[in-house]
Amino acid sequence: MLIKSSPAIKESSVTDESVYLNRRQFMQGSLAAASLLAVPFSPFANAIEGDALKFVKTSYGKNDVPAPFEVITGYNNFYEFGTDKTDPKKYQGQLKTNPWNIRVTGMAEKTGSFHLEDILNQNPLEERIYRLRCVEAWSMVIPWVGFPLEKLLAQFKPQASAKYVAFETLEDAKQFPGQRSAFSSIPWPYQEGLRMDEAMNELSFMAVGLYGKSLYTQNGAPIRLVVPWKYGFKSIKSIVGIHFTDKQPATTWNRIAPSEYGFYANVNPQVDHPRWSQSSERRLPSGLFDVKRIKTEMFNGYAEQVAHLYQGMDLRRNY
Amino acid sequence: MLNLLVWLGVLAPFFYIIYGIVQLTFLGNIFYFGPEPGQYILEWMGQSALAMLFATLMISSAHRLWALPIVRYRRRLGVGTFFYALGHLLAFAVFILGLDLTLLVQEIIKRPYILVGMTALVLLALLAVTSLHTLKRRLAYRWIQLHRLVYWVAGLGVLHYVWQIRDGYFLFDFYLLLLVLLLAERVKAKKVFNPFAGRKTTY
Repeated sequence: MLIKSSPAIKESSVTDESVYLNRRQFMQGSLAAASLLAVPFSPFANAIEGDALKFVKTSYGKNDVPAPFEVITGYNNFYEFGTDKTDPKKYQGQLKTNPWNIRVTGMAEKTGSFHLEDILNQNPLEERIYRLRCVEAWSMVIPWVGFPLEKLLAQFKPQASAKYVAFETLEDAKQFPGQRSAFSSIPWPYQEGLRMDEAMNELSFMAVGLYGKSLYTQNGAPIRLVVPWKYGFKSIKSIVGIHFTDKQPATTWNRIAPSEYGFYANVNPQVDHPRWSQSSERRLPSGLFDVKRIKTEMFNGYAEQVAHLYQGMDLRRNY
Repeated sequence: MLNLLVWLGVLAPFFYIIYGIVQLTFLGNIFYFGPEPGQYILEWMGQSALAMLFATLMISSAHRLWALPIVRYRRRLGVGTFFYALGHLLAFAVFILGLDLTLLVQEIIKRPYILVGMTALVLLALLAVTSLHTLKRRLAYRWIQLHRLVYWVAGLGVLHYVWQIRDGYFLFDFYLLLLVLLLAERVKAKKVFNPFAGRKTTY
């Protein structure tokens, strides 16, 4: 087991952290070499996932009951792997999540390509239990492990002129079967964005794990965004690009169907999706006859923390 | 033998659902249909209805093109289509809406794709009821006219399906192409003598 628990690590955490990560990299490398001879679709190809993480617990969502692990890792919308909710788990082995780099561009002082390990070294991990509300009207409670987005962005020293931050998922048809599909209408790569004040909000979170373990690929490994007061599609997965800009960035679902998916995409029970109601949701997992249909709350119940961001805005128009 | 196979084909999707419900209700495999079993059954029923509807249309075309001796199974598949479409609606009402009938009415009115689906289901009900032999005989030529509606049902069904998906158009493309081919065959089909009306028509 790769549990990082020795107190000796604390003495010079940076070095030890990288040694620790290199060890995983080494294991990954040797496993990858071995897997060249083995079946390429093996679910065990990604050795890096599922490692126990070191983190502190927080009070976020302490009253919510998380969905079972197998539900969170087996029922995903990650169209890069396919449109069926079981596709991401089925095909996750095709994506190589280590090594991983993030390209930072635009209106910031520190731009360039960064190794994920270097980013992780500077951010102690914490657990936050958040509700995830999908635009399809189902929801799940998920115990994420990660760090505030605010801290990550501060590392790159964004300029005052940067009003928005855009994110991008990896585009590689070799690793993502969904991106190879001739029957998809999605313009890859997947892109999302936040207004700078939204990104700097205390709730905005970068997740690298869940249930105390590093992220499984189907959940957006190795690093993903979590913005719990917005519909799930805003929480972009497997991020390779961060761009600071003064213009509202293009976002993927908004480009595909602007009348259905807005830039803001705040959870709002009063504004229906044109094709279905958003006033209530099905909390998963649900039984066959006891459908846990609950009323959807404004900002997914996080109004206290985020409502001030939208004061004076017409949320019917800015959906 | 073929008779038995057709029966199996028509009933297999239903048996699978029953098997799954037994698994998740009595045998402890609570995620047999995933974390949203109602949604799974809903989609399964809808897909089965669509598949059976197109199988029905293909029998008609195959019958006209090659006079294959399978047209006697068409009625069974047609009624099967109605059975699964009705199951699809029931799954929606029971598993998704929790039998909240006001919500059901609201959804039917407010969601265009549900309205389209309901229209198709009402037409299917009409076709299923009039598939009784006595009614068929009594309706005579009007039966033929009435059952031409099945092509409208297919169009509505495909529209209902594509209107609610977010991405992934393989099945839609497949059914659309199939529908175009079947309609082309239907339109070009050779006219034959209609014993009821004393004039030429196409079955």
